[in-house]
Amino acid sequence: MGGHHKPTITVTDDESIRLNPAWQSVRLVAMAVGVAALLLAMGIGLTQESSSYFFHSYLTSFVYFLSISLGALFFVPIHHLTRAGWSVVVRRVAELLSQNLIPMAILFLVILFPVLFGSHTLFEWNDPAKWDTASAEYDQLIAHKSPYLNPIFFTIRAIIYFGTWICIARYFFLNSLSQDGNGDKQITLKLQKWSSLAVVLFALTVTFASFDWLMSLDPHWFSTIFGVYFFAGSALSFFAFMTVVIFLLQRDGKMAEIVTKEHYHDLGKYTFGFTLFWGYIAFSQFLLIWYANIPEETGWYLRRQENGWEVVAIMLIFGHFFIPFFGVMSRHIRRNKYILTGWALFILVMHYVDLYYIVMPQVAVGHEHVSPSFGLIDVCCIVGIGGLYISSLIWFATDKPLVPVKDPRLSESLALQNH
Amino acid sequence: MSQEANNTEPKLLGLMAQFDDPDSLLAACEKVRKAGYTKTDAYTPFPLHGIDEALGIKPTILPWIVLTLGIMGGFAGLGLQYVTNAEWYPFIISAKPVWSLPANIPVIFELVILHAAIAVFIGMLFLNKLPTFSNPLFRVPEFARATDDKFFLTIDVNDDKYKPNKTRDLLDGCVGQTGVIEVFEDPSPAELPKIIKFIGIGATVCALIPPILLWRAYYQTSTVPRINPIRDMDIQLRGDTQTVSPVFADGRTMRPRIPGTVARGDWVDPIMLTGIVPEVGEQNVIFLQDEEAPVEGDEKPAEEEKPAEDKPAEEKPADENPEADKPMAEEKPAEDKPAEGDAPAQPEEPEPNWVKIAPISVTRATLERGRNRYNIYCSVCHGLAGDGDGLVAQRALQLEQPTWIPPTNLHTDYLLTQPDGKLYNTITHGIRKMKGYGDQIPAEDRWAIVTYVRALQKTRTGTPEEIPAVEMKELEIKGQ
Repeated sequence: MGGHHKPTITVTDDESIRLNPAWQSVRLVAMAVGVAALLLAMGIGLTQESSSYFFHSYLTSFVYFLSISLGALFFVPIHHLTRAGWSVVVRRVAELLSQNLIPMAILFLVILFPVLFGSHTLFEWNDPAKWDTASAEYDQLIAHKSPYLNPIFFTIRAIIYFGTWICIARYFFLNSLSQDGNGDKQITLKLQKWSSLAVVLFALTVTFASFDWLMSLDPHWFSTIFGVYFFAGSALSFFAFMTVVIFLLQRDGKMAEIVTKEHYHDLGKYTFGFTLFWGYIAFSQFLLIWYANIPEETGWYLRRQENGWEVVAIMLIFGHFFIPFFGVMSRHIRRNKYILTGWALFILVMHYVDLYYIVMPQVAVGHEHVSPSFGLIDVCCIVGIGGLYISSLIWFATDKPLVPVKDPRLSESLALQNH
Repeated sequence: MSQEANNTEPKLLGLMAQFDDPDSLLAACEKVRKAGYTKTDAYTPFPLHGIDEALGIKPTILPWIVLTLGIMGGFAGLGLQYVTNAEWYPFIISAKPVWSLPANIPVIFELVILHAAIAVFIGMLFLNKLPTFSNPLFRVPEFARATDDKFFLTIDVNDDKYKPNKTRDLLDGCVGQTGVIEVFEDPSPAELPKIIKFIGIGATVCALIPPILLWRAYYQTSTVPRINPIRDMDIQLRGDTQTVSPVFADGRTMRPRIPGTVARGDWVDPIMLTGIVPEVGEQNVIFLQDEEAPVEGDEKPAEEEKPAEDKPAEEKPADENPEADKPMAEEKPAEDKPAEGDAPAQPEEPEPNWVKIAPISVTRATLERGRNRYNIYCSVCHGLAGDGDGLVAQRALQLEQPTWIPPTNLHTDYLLTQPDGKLYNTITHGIRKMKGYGDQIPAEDRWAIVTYVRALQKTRTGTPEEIPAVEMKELEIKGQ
């Protein structure tokens, strides 16, 4: 940039870039509320006639918070890979968010154990009767897919996904932390080298994880673009979540001079871009299925066009695309952290609606498909997993600098100017 | 004029200060802006942060132009597809509705991008007053380094604050300036050289030739085949009419209609088609190509007008039928119901239950159409007035052909009392020596002929009382 050099700016590693101790009480409250809410959700959900609703609702909330951390896991390596300068001041927040994949792995057990014990309330393909040619329930397509969709391989894959994610998250986080201490510039080069592998692994694992946990809810259905669709929503919700986190940190007076409206502007650009990207991918998936009109593909959308789900679909078209698209289009809005944070909250709500739309129509009570009925179980699942998520995020952030203070590109990031 | 310009002192346009580094330029811009100057500009080798604020340049309106044109592009894409798909060429493709939004979105999207991109490009040129071929600054030798390592700030003499000495002092006082230069108007003649003018006019005239040729070709007929630059439409893999096809076992390219089906757009109401009102309980399905034995077991009211291979393609444009059918089909039951209840349902022997009155709305246009068709198809034998004295009949009588059966006089009592349906049936299937015209004349035109024949008959049987008073008055005036 330019022919003139600004003097190198540094950040002193002091209280101004540490988490406010007041958050520690929030951590405990969030933990307590989270556990209580989850227990309440289980209490209601598992005592019902069918536990199907609880498990689907749990999965929705689980994937919701997982996707935020996955977006963070995308953000960190991709910015190393591209030697991004601007993002250094916000990178630590993303690193912290990606650490939450560890508690998410534990929360996944609620989904994994029933599958291992042969429950097919959530995943229809886990019903052995569907594979048995002698059975009246025999389903040729599910039987055909059983080499992939079976509890053992499902578990192995889940271990691979979480293993990969946690390794990437820890590797980048711990190296970045050690750079805070020794200021070794070689670490940046090392992370850049490994980020290429991390990005490839991320793309593969996220794609297949979305196939396993979301697409296989309707085992007859398939959409090759589904992984990209899930990724688009994940990245978008991550940028929204990070905007909110940084806004809250700045409200505490932290990183006040460090994160400027230029950085909000860049986060806003990401938000805007990924809003369009999500709309583009979501529509691409719909258009091809709509145009080809093949029964095994259209079934998924058909189910989401009746029983009130068509209202949710319209809500997504406008709430997840058109409204935020025009909302964050203006540069002036992206440079105003209050308005941008408002839009970020709106997008976070819509991302939940998006996942709700993917998961919840699959709830089958008997053979009747349910209409959208957002209720206490859903609230409890969001509050429960969300409480634990926030609690663990605070735990990871405690006593760590919220900015990578010795990063060689920190100066460039601090001096960021948007064109 | 150019002579004068050369003689006079070149006009001063403004002052330009030169700087060696961007920070000095920025400081100078601040200073000049604070002094109240507005007609200023800065020139730097690279984009400089903060220069807009330092000079007080207003934010560009380009984003609004782009947004507006982008939205307009979106609506253009939507409108284009609506008009072409739903209005002009309503074809059913892949069983989708003729106009369906999802299929339109990619084109809308692309047109938004296209319009936005064009808006950026044209808008940027327009707002920057580009292309400008010459600028007085180009004549300042020092200014060449504005693309290299020097920074410049100019103040226009037209600025309200401009005072010759004060402005110069202001620029002289800027920290880091390395010279203040006066910029003069270009003294060379501003007019285009004549040769360029002539080339321009010549090029314009030449450029008009192709459109004129196109225009001429469009409006004139020609005896030679047209020039066809893209020949794909002529040379293509397709089955031409009356050719042999290797694809089908019977070797015919033209496929016969599948029994029991009606081609899209070929549906005609059975009563309209046959002129017969079916008895209660009788199967409402009649196929012309196998009319002796109606197809059994087909519940749907479907019929066939004529075998596909016999049908002259130009006789009946596909889009003519559906429009014509609808209003007629609605009228028919009310008119026909009273006619029921006489003949018992026997397939062969008794007279069919003929439609009494033509099931079409009789308007002036219908009668004109009927006259037109009658004069083309019928008058050669039956005569223009229906007396059975057409040219063919006259010639046949002249030649005294023994087998010739004279065409019927349409004014005989027998025809006057005939139900419309029977008359229609005769046109369709022919009678005695007369051939059937069902293959050549579409159903609604046959009905139009029926109504015209009735009008012809009325010319002989009508009484003055039947003529409306207004018309009568006109006739009287004409008669005098």
